[in-house]
Amino acid sequence: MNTASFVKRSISGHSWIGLLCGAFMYLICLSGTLAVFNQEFERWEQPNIEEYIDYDIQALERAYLDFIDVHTEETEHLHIVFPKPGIPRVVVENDHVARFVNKNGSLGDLEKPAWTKMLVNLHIYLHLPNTLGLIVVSILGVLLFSLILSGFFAHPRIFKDAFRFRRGGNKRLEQVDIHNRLSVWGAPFHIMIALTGAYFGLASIVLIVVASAFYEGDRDAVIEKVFGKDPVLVQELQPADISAAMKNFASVAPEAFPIFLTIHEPDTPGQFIEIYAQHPDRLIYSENYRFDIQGNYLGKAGFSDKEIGRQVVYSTYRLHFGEFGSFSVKVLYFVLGLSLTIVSVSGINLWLAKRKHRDFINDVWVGFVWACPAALSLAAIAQIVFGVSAVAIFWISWVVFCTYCYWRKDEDKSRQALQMLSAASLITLVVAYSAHFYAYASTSAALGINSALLTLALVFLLLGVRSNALTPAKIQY
Amino acid sequence: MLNGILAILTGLAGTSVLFMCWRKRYHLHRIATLCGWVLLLVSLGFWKAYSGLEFGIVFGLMMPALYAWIFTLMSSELKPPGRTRVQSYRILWPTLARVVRNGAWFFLVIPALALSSILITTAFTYLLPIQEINRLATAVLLMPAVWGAAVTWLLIDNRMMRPVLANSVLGLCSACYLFL
Repeated sequence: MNTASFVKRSISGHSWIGLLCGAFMYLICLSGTLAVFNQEFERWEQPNIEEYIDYDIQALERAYLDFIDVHTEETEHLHIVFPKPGIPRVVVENDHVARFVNKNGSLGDLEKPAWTKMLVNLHIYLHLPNTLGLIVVSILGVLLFSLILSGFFAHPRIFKDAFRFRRGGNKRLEQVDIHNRLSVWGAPFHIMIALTGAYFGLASIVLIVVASAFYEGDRDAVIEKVFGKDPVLVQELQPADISAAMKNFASVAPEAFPIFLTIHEPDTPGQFIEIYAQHPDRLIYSENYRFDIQGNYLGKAGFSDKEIGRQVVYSTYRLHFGEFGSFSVKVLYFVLGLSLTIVSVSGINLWLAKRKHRDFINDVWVGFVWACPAALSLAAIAQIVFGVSAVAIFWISWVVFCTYCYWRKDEDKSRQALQMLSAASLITLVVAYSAHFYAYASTSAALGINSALLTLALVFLLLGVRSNALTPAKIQY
Repeated sequence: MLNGILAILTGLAGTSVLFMCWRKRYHLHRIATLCGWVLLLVSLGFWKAYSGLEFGIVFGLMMPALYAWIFTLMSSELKPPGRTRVQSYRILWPTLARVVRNGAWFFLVIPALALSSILITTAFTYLLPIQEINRLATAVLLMPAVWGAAVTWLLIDNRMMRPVLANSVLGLCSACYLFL
């Protein structure tokens, strides 16, 4: 086999997939990197909510009874979300509405983390209709895996250049080194993210094939195979005895940490309680302990100790979103996620730099990349301070900024302007947020994120000043 | 806690050995390089002791990236600014043939290979002598990898017909096994 020709074809294949999905990949990676802190953002978005880790189960039961009295909408589930170190708040919710619970058991504000939801939905669905979006994002996971494979084939100097980084000189070589060093060393994380990300949307398609081939098209039968059957009960109608269920749960699984409790099919004879609990040092999302409506233990789903396949499938969520271990795991995921975001951008930058000419793609790409932070912070200002849709403001401002870059036709000036705009919008966000929430702006929920936003603003400011210092004559491709 | 610190220290030591071997060729180069990888493996063991098997594997595989980037940054070469290559501004619209060619590639990469990969993976996993739940789990987790690998093969093989034929035939056989 001719190595040079193989490498050439690998580079060509790598470029083709990269161009097909690079822009979407950037959006998904950036939003995913930020969404690692979704719990922190949720707390920041509503800093006026009472926070506590230790709770009185009688108080939660009172809140549940008040909730079903007030919110009589028909629902298939009722949830009580317990406080966790990452988000020490209690929520009672049905399929339509979610309310916080104060420590004394009274019902608090409505839960409405609209900006965080916008960010998470951008990562999971690209703001497309849910099923379509999930499948599109999952396909991008497959293409990311293919990019990683072809990237390795296209990189014959992988060991020779293992630690090489040429800064400051030729911009193309600098981009090559950034792209290769980040992607090669980050490959285990990138592969994991690609395959677990692809799983979420594509599992349903495999399920359809399996159901058609072996279960006469009965998809529920396949789902039951993986997630277990619901208990079949016929009981008198009554509110759930949450205290009894929690008491029995504590004796059945004393080492497990309950994250939430669900009442399935409430107000029907078949209703039952399910407590989702995490086990120490395990990646499974939860083990699910089931109880009848009087709180008598029925059994568990078996995600923690039954078939290995079930355990692996149920571990993908926490593995993908970095929701395990301490806060340092989130920081690790943030750094590694940011590396994948930079790899996505530098890949397209390299393709642009290799061309003999420049056109509107160069201009719009600068806007596409650098407008995102400003659009996200403007969306946050609109949603949190003025209650205007974050999704609409995000896309409108992004399109406006991209159009500005196209009109300006100067990549360096556009980049600098957007970096400065990002810094300004982040500072405005913190100021507007502090004015809006006033007394609550100094709570732990608000301080952490606001400090991070101001640091980020400083970074953008420095980048903008640096861009200004680099005269166009010094910038090369 | 001690295991966590040892995990970081052995990981850093392993990466620094690999870094030194990369920078300069020593007398016992191969043995030294092997020692670097062994130290990273030892680090994984400490991670396992610190946080259990599952978290340990995750940390053991992800942390070396951070160590390596630190060494890469520390040894980065600051180059003087070079000459600028001016790129002229002109719009080159793609030809119809190019659009059709890329459309065909897109069709092969997305719907065609998706279909064959799903069929191949499902049939393969249902031939494995394991419990059905494990077959299902293997199928859903393996399918994206099989599809991704097929895309790579299609794009880098110098004879495009090879991956096209292989995937078509295997996909057809799998469909027969699954549905007939």
